[in-house]
Amino acid sequence: MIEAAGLTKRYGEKTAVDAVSFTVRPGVVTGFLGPNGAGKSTTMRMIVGLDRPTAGSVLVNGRSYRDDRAPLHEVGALLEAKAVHTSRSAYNHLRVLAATHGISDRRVAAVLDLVGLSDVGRKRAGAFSLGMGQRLGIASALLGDPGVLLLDEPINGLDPEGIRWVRDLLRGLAAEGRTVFVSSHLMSEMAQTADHVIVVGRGRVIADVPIQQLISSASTGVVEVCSPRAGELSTVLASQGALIVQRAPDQLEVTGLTVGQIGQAALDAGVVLHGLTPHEASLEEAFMEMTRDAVDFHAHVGSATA
Amino acid sequence: MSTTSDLVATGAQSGLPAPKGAASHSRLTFPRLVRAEWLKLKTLRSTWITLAAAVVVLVLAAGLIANHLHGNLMNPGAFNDPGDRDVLTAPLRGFGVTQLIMGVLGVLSITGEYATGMIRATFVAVPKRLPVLWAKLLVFAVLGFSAMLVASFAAFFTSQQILGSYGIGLAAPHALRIVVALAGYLTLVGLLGLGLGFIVRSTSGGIALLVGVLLVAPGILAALGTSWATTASHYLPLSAGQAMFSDTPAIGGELSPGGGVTVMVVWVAASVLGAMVVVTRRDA
Repeated sequence: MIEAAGLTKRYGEKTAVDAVSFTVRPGVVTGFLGPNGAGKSTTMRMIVGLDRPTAGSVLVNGRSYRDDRAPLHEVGALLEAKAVHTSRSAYNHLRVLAATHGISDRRVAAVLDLVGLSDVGRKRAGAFSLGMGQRLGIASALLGDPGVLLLDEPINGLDPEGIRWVRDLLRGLAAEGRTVFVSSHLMSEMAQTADHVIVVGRGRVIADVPIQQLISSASTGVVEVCSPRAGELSTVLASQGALIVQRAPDQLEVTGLTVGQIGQAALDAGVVLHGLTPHEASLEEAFMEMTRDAVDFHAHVGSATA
Repeated sequence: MSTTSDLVATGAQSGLPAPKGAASHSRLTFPRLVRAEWLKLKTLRSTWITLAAAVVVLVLAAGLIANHLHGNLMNPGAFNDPGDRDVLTAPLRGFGVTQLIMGVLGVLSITGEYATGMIRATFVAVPKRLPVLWAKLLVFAVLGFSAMLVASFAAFFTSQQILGSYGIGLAAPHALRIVVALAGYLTLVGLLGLGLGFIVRSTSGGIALLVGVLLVAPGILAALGTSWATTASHYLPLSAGQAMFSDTPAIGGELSPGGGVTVMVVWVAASVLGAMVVVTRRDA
Protein backbone atom coordinates (compact mmCIF):
# COMPACT_ATOMS: atom_id res chain seq x y z
CA MET A 1 0.00 0.00 0.00
CA ILE A 2 1.31 3.40 -1.00
CA GLU A 3 -0.52 6.51 0.19
CA ALA A 4 0.38 9.95 -1.14
CA ALA A 5 -1.26 13.00 0.41
CA GLY A 6 -0.80 16.44 -1.07
CA LEU A 7 2.56 15.32 -2.38
CA THR A 8 4.33 18.29 -3.94
CA LYS A 9 7.76 18.84 -5.44
CA ARG A 10 8.94 22.19 -6.68
CA TYR A 11 12.29 22.93 -8.29
CA GLY A 12 12.57 26.68 -7.99
CA GLU A 13 9.72 28.13 -10.04
CA LYS A 14 8.82 24.86 -11.68
CA THR A 15 6.30 22.59 -9.99
CA ALA A 16 7.04 19.01 -11.01
CA VAL A 17 4.45 17.38 -8.76
CA ASP A 18 1.50 19.47 -7.69
CA ALA A 19 -0.37 18.37 -4.54
CA VAL A 20 -0.87 14.82 -5.72
CA SER A 21 -2.95 12.44 -3.61
CA PHE A 22 -3.57 8.79 -4.38
CA THR A 23 -3.55 5.31 -2.93
CA VAL A 24 -1.92 2.32 -4.58
CA ARG A 25 -3.50 -0.88 -3.31
CA PRO A 26 -2.02 -4.35 -2.98
CA GLY A 27 -3.16 -7.23 -5.13
CA VAL A 28 -3.50 -5.33 -8.38
CA VAL A 29 -1.18 -3.80 -10.93
CA THR A 30 -1.56 -0.04 -10.77
CA GLY A 31 -0.38 1.84 -13.82
CA PHE A 32 1.04 5.31 -13.49
CA LEU A 33 0.41 7.01 -16.79
CA GLY A 34 1.42 10.33 -18.11
CA PRO A 35 3.38 12.01 -20.84
CA ASN A 36 7.06 12.75 -20.31
CA GLY A 37 7.57 15.45 -17.71
CA ALA A 38 4.24 14.74 -16.01
CA GLY A 39 6.00 14.09 -12.69
CA LYS A 40 5.90 10.28 -12.64
CA SER A 41 9.58 9.71 -11.93
CA THR A 42 9.75 12.48 -9.34
CA THR A 43 6.74 10.99 -7.55
CA MET A 44 8.36 7.55 -7.53
CA ARG A 45 11.62 8.99 -6.25
CA MET A 46 9.76 10.69 -3.41
CA ILE A 47 8.11 7.40 -2.44
CA VAL A 48 11.53 5.86 -1.70
CA GLY A 49 12.95 9.03 -0.21
CA LEU A 50 15.43 9.89 -2.97
CA ASP A 51 13.74 13.26 -3.39
CA ARG A 52 12.39 15.18 -0.44
CA PRO A 53 8.83 16.47 -0.96
CA THR A 54 8.42 20.25 -0.89
CA ALA A 55 5.06 19.62 0.79
CA GLY A 56 2.79 16.72 1.60
CA SER A 57 3.79 13.19 2.43
CA VAL A 58 3.89 9.69 1.08
CA LEU A 59 3.67 6.55 3.19
CA VAL A 60 4.60 2.99 2.32
CA ASN A 61 2.59 0.47 4.32
CA GLY A 62 1.68 3.19 6.77
CA ARG A 63 5.08 4.70 7.45
CA SER A 64 7.74 6.80 5.86
CA TYR A 65 10.16 4.71 3.81
CA ARG A 66 13.13 6.34 5.53
CA ASP A 67 12.07 4.87 8.87
CA ASP A 68 11.94 1.32 7.61
CA ARG A 69 14.27 -1.14 9.29
CA ALA A 70 14.45 -3.45 6.29
CA PRO A 71 13.89 -1.15 3.30
CA LEU A 72 14.71 -3.71 0.62
CA HIS A 73 12.07 -6.07 2.00
CA GLU A 74 9.52 -3.28 2.02
CA VAL A 75 10.02 -1.79 -1.44
CA GLY A 76 11.74 -3.06 -4.55
CA ALA A 77 12.43 -0.20 -6.90
CA LEU A 78 13.50 0.03 -10.51
CA LEU A 79 14.00 3.75 -10.89
CA GLU A 80 16.48 4.14 -13.68
CA ALA A 81 17.73 1.68 -16.20
CA LYS A 82 21.22 2.00 -14.86
CA ALA A 83 21.50 2.63 -11.16
CA VAL A 84 24.52 0.38 -11.33
CA HIS A 85 28.25 0.97 -11.10
CA THR A 86 29.35 0.31 -14.68
CA SER A 87 32.62 -1.39 -13.67
CA ARG A 88 31.00 -3.96 -11.41
CA SER A 89 29.56 -7.25 -12.62
CA ALA A 90 25.80 -7.82 -12.41
CA TYR A 91 26.35 -10.56 -9.84
CA ASN A 92 28.56 -8.38 -7.66
CA HIS A 93 26.15 -5.45 -7.97
CA LEU A 94 23.38 -7.60 -6.54
CA ARG A 95 25.69 -9.04 -3.88
CA VAL A 96 26.55 -5.53 -2.71
CA LEU A 97 22.88 -4.61 -2.35
CA ALA A 98 22.06 -7.95 -0.76
CA ALA A 99 24.87 -7.53 1.78
CA THR A 100 23.21 -4.44 3.27
CA HIS A 101 20.34 -6.64 4.47
CA GLY A 102 22.17 -9.90 4.96
CA ILE A 103 20.37 -11.44 1.97
CA SER A 104 22.04 -14.69 0.91
CA ASP A 105 24.11 -15.24 -2.23
CA ARG A 106 21.63 -17.99 -3.06
CA ARG A 107 18.88 -15.42 -3.36
CA VAL A 108 21.18 -13.29 -5.53
CA ALA A 109 21.69 -16.22 -7.87
CA ALA A 110 17.94 -16.93 -7.84
CA VAL A 111 16.89 -13.42 -8.94
CA LEU A 112 19.65 -13.33 -11.53
CA ASP A 113 18.23 -16.56 -12.91
CA LEU A 114 14.68 -15.26 -12.70
CA VAL A 115 15.47 -12.30 -14.94
CA GLY A 116 17.46 -14.48 -17.32
CA LEU A 117 20.89 -12.96 -16.68
CA SER A 118 22.66 -15.98 -15.16
CA ASP A 119 24.87 -16.42 -18.21
CA VAL A 120 26.09 -12.82 -18.19
CA GLY A 121 26.16 -12.34 -14.42
CA ARG A 122 29.94 -12.09 -14.37
CA LYS A 123 30.09 -9.49 -17.12
CA ARG A 124 30.57 -5.80 -16.43
CA ALA A 125 27.17 -4.15 -16.02
CA GLY A 126 28.50 -1.24 -18.06
CA ALA A 127 28.63 -3.48 -21.11
CA PHE A 128 24.94 -4.38 -20.80
CA SER A 129 22.38 -3.37 -23.38
CA LEU A 130 19.44 -1.23 -22.26
CA GLY A 131 17.25 -4.32 -22.07
CA MET A 132 19.78 -6.25 -19.98
CA GLY A 133 20.14 -3.21 -17.75
CA GLN A 134 16.38 -3.23 -17.22
CA ARG A 135 16.47 -6.92 -16.33
CA LEU A 136 19.24 -6.26 -13.83
CA GLY A 137 17.20 -3.41 -12.38
CA ILE A 138 14.21 -5.74 -12.02
CA ALA A 139 16.47 -8.33 -10.37
CA SER A 140 17.61 -5.78 -7.79
CA ALA A 141 14.00 -4.75 -7.19
CA LEU A 142 13.07 -8.38 -6.47
CA LEU A 143 16.15 -9.06 -4.33
CA GLY A 144 14.48 -8.45 -0.97
CA ASP A 145 11.25 -10.20 -2.00
CA PRO A 146 9.42 -6.95 -1.21
CA GLY A 147 5.72 -6.44 -0.68
CA VAL A 148 5.74 -3.25 -2.72
CA LEU A 149 7.21 -2.95 -6.21
CA LEU A 150 7.92 0.35 -7.81
CA LEU A 151 8.93 0.21 -11.45
CA ASP A 152 9.64 3.29 -13.53
CA GLU A 153 9.21 2.49 -17.23
CA PRO A 154 10.30 -1.16 -16.81
CA ILE A 155 9.72 -2.14 -20.42
CA ASN A 156 11.98 0.55 -21.86
CA GLY A 157 14.47 -1.11 -24.13
CA LEU A 158 12.96 -4.59 -23.88
CA ASP A 159 12.18 -6.70 -26.91
CA PRO A 160 8.64 -8.04 -27.41
CA GLU A 161 9.47 -11.23 -25.58
CA GLY A 162 10.92 -9.21 -22.70
CA ILE A 163 7.84 -6.99 -22.61
CA ARG A 164 5.62 -10.01 -22.39
CA TRP A 165 7.79 -11.44 -19.65
CA VAL A 166 7.58 -8.23 -17.59
CA ARG A 167 3.80 -8.15 -18.08
CA ASP A 168 3.44 -11.71 -16.79
CA LEU A 169 5.86 -11.04 -13.96
CA LEU A 170 3.98 -7.95 -12.78
CA ARG A 171 0.61 -9.68 -12.96
CA GLY A 172 2.06 -12.64 -11.06
CA LEU A 173 3.50 -10.39 -8.36
CA ALA A 174 0.17 -8.61 -7.95
CA ALA A 175 -1.65 -11.94 -7.80
CA GLU A 176 0.60 -12.87 -4.87
CA GLY A 177 -0.87 -9.93 -2.99
CA ARG A 178 1.89 -7.43 -3.60
CA THR A 179 1.48 -3.77 -4.35
CA VAL A 180 2.69 -3.20 -7.91
CA PHE A 181 3.07 0.37 -9.14
CA VAL A 182 4.33 0.72 -12.72
CA SER A 183 4.86 3.89 -14.65
CA SER A 184 4.69 4.10 -18.40
CA HIS A 185 3.95 6.50 -21.17
CA LEU A 186 2.89 3.60 -23.36
CA MET A 187 -0.85 3.47 -22.83
CA SER A 188 -1.39 0.43 -24.99
CA GLU A 189 1.04 -1.49 -22.80
CA MET A 190 -0.75 -0.45 -19.63
CA ALA A 191 -4.06 -1.58 -21.11
CA GLN A 192 -2.66 -5.09 -21.16
CA THR A 193 -0.91 -4.98 -17.80
CA ALA A 194 -2.67 -2.68 -15.38
CA ASP A 195 -5.91 -3.26 -13.50
CA HIS A 196 -6.08 0.28 -12.27
CA VAL A 197 -4.54 3.48 -13.56
CA ILE A 198 -3.53 6.79 -12.12
CA VAL A 199 -3.17 9.29 -14.93
CA VAL A 200 -1.04 12.36 -14.37
CA GLY A 201 -0.42 15.38 -16.50
CA ARG A 202 1.62 18.44 -15.63
CA GLY A 203 2.13 17.25 -12.07
CA ARG A 204 -1.53 16.67 -11.27
CA VAL A 205 -3.71 13.58 -11.05
CA ILE A 206 -6.14 13.63 -13.96
CA ALA A 207 -7.76 10.28 -13.33
CA ASP A 208 -7.57 7.52 -10.75
CA VAL A 209 -9.81 4.76 -12.10
CA PRO A 210 -10.03 1.09 -13.05
CA ILE A 211 -8.57 0.63 -16.52
CA GLN A 212 -11.92 -0.48 -17.98
CA GLN A 213 -13.54 2.69 -16.77
CA LEU A 214 -10.82 4.78 -18.31
CA ILE A 215 -11.38 3.12 -21.64
CA SER A 216 -15.18 3.23 -21.58
CA SER A 217 -15.36 6.78 -20.24
CA ALA A 218 -13.45 7.96 -23.23
CA SER A 219 -15.10 5.63 -25.68
CA THR A 220 -16.72 7.40 -28.58
CA GLY A 221 -20.08 5.64 -28.26
CA VAL A 222 -19.99 4.45 -31.86
CA VAL A 223 -21.45 1.02 -32.62
CA GLU A 224 -20.60 -0.75 -35.83
CA VAL A 225 -23.60 -2.63 -37.23
CA CYS A 226 -23.40 -5.18 -39.99
CA SER A 227 -26.60 -6.37 -41.64
CA PRO A 228 -27.66 -7.50 -45.13
CA ARG A 229 -30.68 -5.20 -44.74
CA ALA A 230 -28.72 -2.20 -43.56
CA GLY A 231 -30.82 0.35 -45.37
CA GLU A 232 -34.03 -0.88 -43.75
CA LEU A 233 -32.42 -0.98 -40.30
CA SER A 234 -31.07 2.50 -40.83
CA THR A 235 -34.58 3.90 -41.14
CA VAL A 236 -35.72 2.13 -37.97
CA LEU A 237 -32.75 3.33 -35.95
CA ALA A 238 -33.05 6.88 -37.27
CA SER A 239 -36.64 6.95 -36.05
CA GLN A 240 -35.29 6.22 -32.57
CA GLY A 241 -33.02 9.26 -32.73
CA ALA A 242 -29.74 7.64 -33.76
CA LEU A 243 -27.12 9.30 -35.91
CA ILE A 244 -26.18 6.97 -38.73
CA VAL A 245 -23.37 6.84 -41.22
CA GLN A 246 -23.56 4.17 -43.90
CA ARG A 247 -20.04 2.88 -44.48
CA ALA A 248 -20.90 0.16 -46.97
CA PRO A 249 -24.11 -1.41 -48.38
CA ASP A 250 -24.24 -3.73 -45.37
CA GLN A 251 -22.42 -1.61 -42.79
CA LEU A 252 -23.57 1.20 -40.50
CA GLU A 253 -21.89 3.33 -37.88
CA VAL A 254 -24.46 4.20 -35.25
CA THR A 255 -24.14 6.88 -32.62
CA GLY A 256 -26.63 7.63 -29.87
CA LEU A 257 -27.92 4.13 -29.16
CA THR A 258 -26.43 1.34 -27.07
CA VAL A 259 -25.65 -2.10 -28.40
CA GLY A 260 -28.68 -3.42 -26.51
CA GLN A 261 -31.06 -0.84 -27.98
CA ILE A 262 -29.86 -1.53 -31.52
CA GLY A 263 -30.22 -5.29 -31.06
CA GLN A 264 -33.75 -4.89 -29.73
CA ALA A 265 -34.72 -2.55 -32.57
CA ALA A 266 -33.40 -5.04 -35.12
CA LEU A 267 -35.36 -7.88 -33.52
CA ASP A 268 -38.55 -5.80 -33.41
CA ALA A 269 -38.15 -4.93 -37.09
CA GLY A 270 -37.26 -8.51 -37.99
CA VAL A 271 -33.91 -7.54 -39.44
CA VAL A 272 -31.08 -10.02 -39.18
CA LEU A 273 -27.78 -8.78 -37.78
CA HIS A 274 -24.39 -10.15 -38.85
CA GLY A 275 -22.38 -7.95 -36.59
CA LEU A 276 -22.87 -5.60 -33.67
CA THR A 277 -19.59 -4.17 -32.35
CA PRO A 278 -19.18 -1.37 -29.84
CA HIS A 279 -16.13 0.59 -30.91
CA GLU A 280 -14.01 0.93 -27.77
CA ALA A 281 -11.48 3.66 -27.69
CA SER A 282 -7.97 2.36 -27.26
CA LEU A 283 -6.23 3.40 -24.13
CA GLU A 284 -4.07 5.58 -26.30
CA GLU A 285 -7.16 7.48 -27.45
CA ALA A 286 -8.54 7.59 -23.92
CA PHE A 287 -5.30 8.97 -22.69
CA MET A 288 -5.03 11.59 -25.42
CA GLU A 289 -8.55 12.75 -24.68
CA MET A 290 -7.84 12.86 -20.98
CA THR A 291 -4.61 14.81 -21.17
CA ARG A 292 -5.85 17.12 -23.90
CA ASP A 293 -6.99 19.61 -21.28
CA ALA A 294 -3.59 19.65 -19.68
CA VAL A 295 -1.96 20.14 -23.05
CA ASP A 296 -4.49 22.81 -24.09
CA PHE A 297 -3.93 24.57 -20.81
CA HIS A 298 -0.23 24.52 -21.51
CA ALA A 299 -0.67 25.89 -25.04
CA HIS A 300 -3.06 28.53 -23.81
CA VAL A 301 -0.64 29.77 -21.18
CA GLY A 302 2.08 29.75 -23.80
CA SER A 303 0.15 31.92 -26.24
CA ALA A 304 -1.04 34.27 -23.53
CA THR A 305 2.47 35.07 -22.43
CA ALA A 306 3.91 35.18 -25.94
CA MET B 1 13.43 -18.36 -19.08
CA SER B 2 12.14 -18.53 -15.57
CA THR B 3 8.72 -17.35 -14.65
CA THR B 4 7.09 -15.93 -11.59
CA SER B 5 6.63 -19.43 -10.28
CA ASP B 6 10.27 -19.32 -9.19
CA LEU B 7 9.49 -16.24 -7.22
CA VAL B 8 6.41 -17.79 -5.74
CA ALA B 9 8.58 -20.69 -4.69
CA THR B 10 11.03 -18.44 -2.88
CA GLY B 11 8.27 -16.20 -1.64
CA ALA B 12 6.28 -19.12 -0.32
CA GLN B 13 8.74 -19.50 2.55
CA SER B 14 7.84 -16.01 3.71
CA GLY B 15 4.19 -16.83 4.21
CA LEU B 16 2.69 -15.18 1.15
CA PRO B 17 0.11 -13.91 0.21
CA ALA B 18 0.99 -11.20 2.67
CA PRO B 19 4.57 -10.73 1.62
CA LYS B 20 6.81 -9.17 4.18
CA GLY B 21 10.09 -10.27 2.71
CA ALA B 22 11.77 -13.55 1.92
CA ALA B 23 13.46 -13.57 5.28
CA SER B 24 11.95 -11.14 7.72
CA HIS B 25 14.90 -11.69 10.06
CA SER B 26 17.23 -10.16 7.50
CA ARG B 27 17.17 -6.43 7.89
CA LEU B 28 19.45 -3.49 7.48
CA THR B 29 22.17 -3.26 10.13
CA PHE B 30 25.36 -1.23 10.32
CA PRO B 31 27.74 -4.22 10.29
CA ARG B 32 25.95 -5.47 7.16
CA LEU B 33 26.28 -2.06 5.58
CA VAL B 34 30.00 -2.07 6.36
CA ARG B 35 30.26 -5.45 4.65
CA ALA B 36 28.41 -4.07 1.64
CA GLU B 37 30.74 -1.09 1.41
CA TRP B 38 33.72 -3.41 1.72
CA LEU B 39 32.30 -5.50 -1.14
CA LYS B 40 31.86 -2.35 -3.20
CA LEU B 41 35.55 -1.49 -2.91
CA LYS B 42 36.65 -5.09 -3.24
CA THR B 43 34.69 -5.79 -6.42
CA LEU B 44 36.12 -2.86 -8.35
CA ARG B 45 39.41 -3.69 -9.99
CA SER B 46 40.30 0.00 -9.99
CA THR B 47 40.52 -0.08 -6.17
CA TRP B 48 43.35 -2.59 -6.25
CA ILE B 49 45.13 -0.97 -9.18
CA THR B 50 44.97 2.40 -7.45
CA LEU B 51 46.14 1.08 -4.10
CA ALA B 52 48.97 -0.85 -5.75
CA ALA B 53 50.01 2.30 -7.60
CA ALA B 54 49.96 4.28 -4.35
CA VAL B 55 52.23 1.70 -2.67
CA VAL B 56 54.61 1.29 -5.59
CA VAL B 57 55.00 5.03 -6.14
CA LEU B 58 55.79 5.67 -2.48
CA VAL B 59 58.41 2.91 -2.37
CA LEU B 60 59.87 3.96 -5.72
CA ALA B 61 60.13 7.60 -4.65
CA ALA B 62 61.77 6.61 -1.37
CA GLY B 63 64.25 4.42 -3.24
CA LEU B 64 65.17 7.17 -5.72
CA ILE B 65 65.57 9.77 -2.99
CA ALA B 66 67.63 7.34 -0.90
CA ASN B 67 69.84 6.60 -3.88
CA HIS B 68 70.42 10.31 -4.47
CA LEU B 69 70.95 10.90 -0.74
CA HIS B 70 73.45 8.07 -0.58
CA GLY B 71 75.51 9.75 -3.27
CA ASN B 72 75.36 13.09 -1.49
CA LEU B 73 76.23 11.61 1.89
CA MET B 74 79.54 10.49 0.46
CA ASN B 75 80.13 14.13 -0.58
CA PRO B 76 79.05 16.16 2.53
CA GLY B 77 79.48 19.56 0.79
CA ALA B 78 76.47 18.82 -1.39
CA PHE B 79 73.84 19.81 1.22
CA ASN B 80 72.25 23.25 1.50
CA ASP B 81 69.61 22.29 4.02
CA PRO B 82 70.53 20.06 6.96
CA GLY B 83 67.09 18.51 6.74
CA ASP B 84 68.00 17.06 3.35
CA ARG B 85 70.58 14.79 4.95
CA ASP B 86 68.03 13.29 7.36
CA VAL B 87 68.24 9.62 6.41
CA LEU B 88 64.97 8.88 8.21
CA THR B 89 62.59 11.51 6.79
CA ALA B 90 64.17 12.60 3.49
CA PRO B 91 63.29 9.41 1.55
CA LEU B 92 59.74 9.47 2.93
CA ARG B 93 59.14 13.00 1.63
CA GLY B 94 58.46 11.55 -1.75
CA PHE B 95 54.83 11.05 -0.74
CA GLY B 96 53.52 13.83 -3.01
CA VAL B 97 52.13 11.59 -5.74
CA THR B 98 50.92 8.92 -3.32
CA GLN B 99 48.90 11.45 -1.33
CA LEU B 100 47.18 12.52 -4.57
CA ILE B 101 46.44 8.91 -5.50
CA MET B 102 44.95 8.25 -2.07
CA GLY B 103 42.94 11.47 -2.18
CA VAL B 104 41.60 10.63 -5.63
CA LEU B 105 40.71 7.10 -4.49
CA GLY B 106 38.76 8.69 -1.64
CA VAL B 107 36.94 11.06 -4.01
CA LEU B 108 36.16 8.26 -6.48
CA SER B 109 34.78 5.88 -3.88
CA ILE B 110 31.73 8.13 -3.63
CA THR B 111 31.66 10.17 -6.87
CA GLY B 112 31.87 6.93 -8.84
CA GLU B 113 28.45 6.12 -7.39
CA TYR B 114 27.01 9.47 -8.36
CA ALA B 115 28.49 9.30 -11.86
CA THR B 116 27.05 5.85 -12.61
CA GLY B 117 23.71 6.19 -10.79
CA MET B 118 24.67 3.49 -8.27
CA ILE B 119 24.05 6.02 -5.51
CA ARG B 120 20.28 5.71 -6.08
CA ALA B 121 20.43 1.95 -5.58
CA THR B 122 22.51 2.58 -2.47
CA PHE B 123 20.11 5.12 -1.01
CA VAL B 124 17.04 3.03 -1.81
CA ALA B 125 18.67 0.23 0.21
CA VAL B 126 19.74 2.66 2.94
CA PRO B 127 17.21 5.50 2.90
CA LYS B 128 18.61 7.11 6.04
CA ARG B 129 21.81 7.74 4.03
CA LEU B 130 24.11 8.88 6.87
CA PRO B 131 25.08 5.28 7.74
CA VAL B 132 26.44 5.01 4.18
CA LEU B 133 28.82 7.87 4.94
CA TRP B 134 29.97 6.24 8.19
CA ALA B 135 30.43 2.84 6.58
CA LYS B 136 32.41 4.29 3.68
CA LEU B 137 34.67 6.24 6.06
CA LEU B 138 35.25 3.15 8.18
CA VAL B 139 35.99 0.81 5.29
CA PHE B 140 38.22 3.33 3.57
CA ALA B 141 40.08 4.06 6.81
CA VAL B 142 40.81 0.38 7.48
CA LEU B 143 41.69 -0.58 3.91
CA GLY B 144 43.61 2.64 3.24
CA PHE B 145 45.56 2.50 6.47
CA SER B 146 46.46 -1.16 5.92
CA ALA B 147 47.76 -0.45 2.43
CA MET B 148 49.58 2.68 3.52
CA LEU B 149 51.24 0.87 6.42
CA VAL B 150 52.58 -1.64 3.92
CA ALA B 151 53.70 1.21 1.66
CA SER B 152 55.26 3.21 4.45
CA PHE B 153 57.20 0.30 5.97
CA ALA B 154 58.29 -0.87 2.52
CA ALA B 155 59.46 2.66 1.70
CA PHE B 156 61.38 2.85 4.98
CA PHE B 157 63.12 -0.50 4.63
CA THR B 158 63.85 0.00 0.93
CA SER B 159 65.39 3.41 1.48
CA GLN B 160 67.42 2.31 4.48
CA GLN B 161 68.67 -0.68 2.51
CA ILE B 162 69.81 1.61 -0.30
CA LEU B 163 71.48 3.96 2.19
CA GLY B 164 73.68 1.04 3.21
CA SER B 165 76.04 2.00 6.02
CA TYR B 166 74.22 5.35 6.45
CA GLY B 167 70.92 3.54 6.97
CA ILE B 168 69.12 3.22 10.28
CA GLY B 169 66.83 0.62 11.80
CA LEU B 170 63.24 0.85 12.96
CA ALA B 171 64.53 1.09 16.54
CA ALA B 172 66.20 4.43 15.80
CA PRO B 173 64.66 7.46 17.55
CA HIS B 174 61.33 8.56 15.97
CA ALA B 175 61.60 5.92 13.21
CA LEU B 176 58.57 3.81 14.07
CA ARG B 177 56.43 6.86 14.89
CA ILE B 178 57.31 8.54 11.61
CA VAL B 179 56.68 5.47 9.48
CA VAL B 180 53.26 4.99 11.09
CA ALA B 181 52.54 8.75 10.92
CA LEU B 182 53.17 8.76 7.17
CA ALA B 183 50.67 5.93 6.71
CA GLY B 184 48.24 7.82 8.92
CA TYR B 185 48.62 11.05 6.96
CA LEU B 186 48.11 9.35 3.60
CA THR B 187 44.97 7.64 4.93
CA LEU B 188 43.63 10.93 6.29
CA VAL B 189 44.15 12.55 2.87
CA GLY B 190 42.07 9.72 1.41
CA LEU B 191 39.33 10.36 3.97
CA LEU B 192 39.50 14.07 3.17
CA GLY B 193 38.98 13.17 -0.49
CA LEU B 194 36.01 11.00 0.48
CA GLY B 195 34.43 13.85 2.43
CA LEU B 196 35.03 16.33 -0.40
CA GLY B 197 33.60 13.83 -2.87
CA PHE B 198 30.39 13.61 -0.83
CA ILE B 199 30.17 17.41 -0.83
CA VAL B 200 30.66 18.10 -4.54
CA ARG B 201 29.34 14.73 -5.84
CA SER B 202 31.34 14.95 -9.07
CA THR B 203 34.69 13.33 -9.75
CA SER B 204 36.26 16.30 -11.51
CA GLY B 205 34.99 18.76 -8.89
CA GLY B 206 36.17 16.56 -6.05
CA ILE B 207 39.64 16.11 -7.49
CA ALA B 208 39.91 19.84 -8.27
CA LEU B 209 38.94 20.71 -4.71
CA LEU B 210 41.40 18.16 -3.32
CA VAL B 211 44.29 19.42 -5.46
CA GLY B 212 43.33 22.97 -4.52
CA VAL B 213 43.51 22.26 -0.79
CA LEU B 214 46.59 20.04 -0.97
CA LEU B 215 48.78 21.74 -3.54
CA VAL B 216 47.41 25.04 -4.80
CA ALA B 217 46.57 26.67 -1.47
CA PRO B 218 50.15 26.34 -0.09
CA GLY B 219 51.49 27.99 -3.25
CA ILE B 220 49.03 30.88 -3.03
CA LEU B 221 49.77 31.48 0.64
CA ALA B 222 53.51 31.33 0.00
CA ALA B 223 53.16 33.81 -2.85
CA LEU B 224 51.28 36.24 -0.61
CA GLY B 225 54.19 36.12 1.80
CA THR B 226 52.43 38.08 4.56
CA SER B 227 52.79 36.90 8.13
CA TRP B 228 49.16 35.80 8.45
CA ALA B 229 49.53 33.84 5.21
CA THR B 230 52.58 32.07 6.59
CA THR B 231 50.72 31.31 9.82
CA ALA B 232 47.70 30.07 7.88
CA SER B 233 49.88 27.86 5.70
CA HIS B 234 50.93 25.88 8.77
CA TYR B 235 47.32 24.78 9.10
CA LEU B 236 46.97 23.41 5.59
CA PRO B 237 46.87 19.61 5.21
CA LEU B 238 50.27 19.40 3.55
CA SER B 239 52.03 21.32 6.37
CA ALA B 240 50.10 19.39 8.97
CA GLY B 241 51.24 16.17 7.33
CA GLN B 242 54.86 17.29 7.24
CA ALA B 243 54.59 18.18 10.93
CA MET B 244 53.20 14.70 11.62
CA PHE B 245 56.36 13.02 10.42
CA SER B 246 58.93 15.56 11.43
CA ASP B 247 61.73 14.43 13.72
CA THR B 248 63.03 17.90 14.48
CA PRO B 249 61.47 20.30 17.01
CA ALA B 250 58.82 22.61 15.56
CA ILE B 251 60.12 26.13 14.86
CA GLY B 252 58.57 29.47 13.91
CA GLY B 253 54.93 28.60 14.52
CA GLU B 254 55.16 25.20 12.82
CA LEU B 255 52.98 22.48 14.24
CA SER B 256 54.26 19.75 16.50
CA PRO B 257 53.64 16.14 15.35
CA GLY B 258 50.64 15.95 17.67
CA GLY B 259 49.45 19.34 16.42
CA GLY B 260 49.79 18.05 12.86
CA VAL B 261 47.57 15.07 13.65
CA THR B 262 45.00 17.34 15.26
CA VAL B 263 44.91 19.72 12.30
CA MET B 264 44.59 16.84 9.80
CA VAL B 265 41.77 15.31 11.83
CA VAL B 266 40.02 18.70 11.93
CA TRP B 267 40.30 18.95 8.13
CA VAL B 268 38.79 15.50 7.70
CA ALA B 269 36.11 16.26 10.31
CA ALA B 270 35.21 19.49 8.52
CA SER B 271 34.83 17.68 5.20
CA VAL B 272 32.74 14.99 6.88
CA LEU B 273 30.54 17.64 8.46
CA GLY B 274 30.00 19.18 5.03
CA ALA B 275 29.30 15.70 3.67
CA MET B 276 26.68 15.11 6.39
CA VAL B 277 24.85 18.29 5.46
CA VAL B 278 24.89 17.58 1.73
CA VAL B 279 23.99 13.91 1.98
CA THR B 280 20.97 14.50 4.19
CA ARG B 281 19.68 17.68 2.58
CA ARG B 282 20.11 17.19 -1.13
CA ASP B 283 18.03 15.00 -3.40
CA ALA B 284 19.93 12.02 -4.71
